[in-house]
Amino acid sequence: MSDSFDPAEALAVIQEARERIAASNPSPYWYAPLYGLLSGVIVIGGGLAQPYGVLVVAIGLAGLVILYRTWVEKAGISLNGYRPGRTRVIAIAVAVLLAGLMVAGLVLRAEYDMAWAPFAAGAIAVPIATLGSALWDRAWRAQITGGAR
Amino acid sequence: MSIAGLDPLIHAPLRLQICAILSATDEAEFSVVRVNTGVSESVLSKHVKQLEEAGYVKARKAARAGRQRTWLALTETGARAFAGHMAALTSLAEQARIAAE
Repeated sequence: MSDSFDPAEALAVIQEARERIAASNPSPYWYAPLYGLLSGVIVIGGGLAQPYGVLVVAIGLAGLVILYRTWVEKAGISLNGYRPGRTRVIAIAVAVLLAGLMVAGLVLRAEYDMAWAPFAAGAIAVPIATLGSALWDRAWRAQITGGAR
Repeated sequence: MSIAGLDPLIHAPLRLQICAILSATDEAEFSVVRVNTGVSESVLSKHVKQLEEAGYVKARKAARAGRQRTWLALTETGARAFAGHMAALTSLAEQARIAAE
C-alpha cells in the first residue's frame, strides 16, 4: 500500500491480512472429532450417579482444556468460542443442545431407571458437537474473510 | 480527506495489517503476526510499541517448554478504534465508488 490515501486500497490490505491469517491456520482434521468425543464424555458424566458423574465430567473438561491449549500452541492464535457474530450463535446452540442431552440422560436414569440413558445421550452428543465445532470453524473463517473462504 | 472514525495511527499500512490480524483473533503470537505481515522482528516491534503506547494493543509474555513467547491482543479501545476506522474506510470507499459512476 502506498502512502497516498485510498480507502479501497486500505480495505484491501485489511482483507488480505485476514485471509492470510485464515489460510495459515487450517483447522487440524483431529480437532472437531476430538471435541465431539470429549463433549460426549461430559454429557455422559452429567447423567451418571455421583461420585462417578463428577469424575467423568472433570475428565471430559480437562480433555477439552488440553485439546484447546494444544491447538493454541500449534496455531499461535487463540479464539473465544463466544466471539460476536454467527460463531456465537453456533456456540450457544451447541451448548444448549449438549446441556439438554445431559439433563435428559440424568432425568431418564434417575427418574425412570434407564441406566443406559446417559450413554445414549453422550452418543447423540458426539456428532452434534463434532458438527458444531466444524461449523464454528467455517463461520469464523467466513466472518473474518467476508465469505472469501 | 477527513471523516469521523479515521485514525491516523491505525492507517499506516503495517499497523493496519497488525490490527486486522488481531481483530480476527483473541490473541496472536508475535511470530505469527510477523510471518503474516512479512516484516522483520525489529520493524514489527517498533509498530507494536506505537500501538501499545496508544493503548490499542496489549502484549503478554508466556513461557512454555523453556521458550518465551509474546502474545498480542487488541484492547477494547483498540478494537473500537479499529472498528471505527473500518467503518470510515468503508464509507469513504463507497462515496468514491458512487462519485466515479
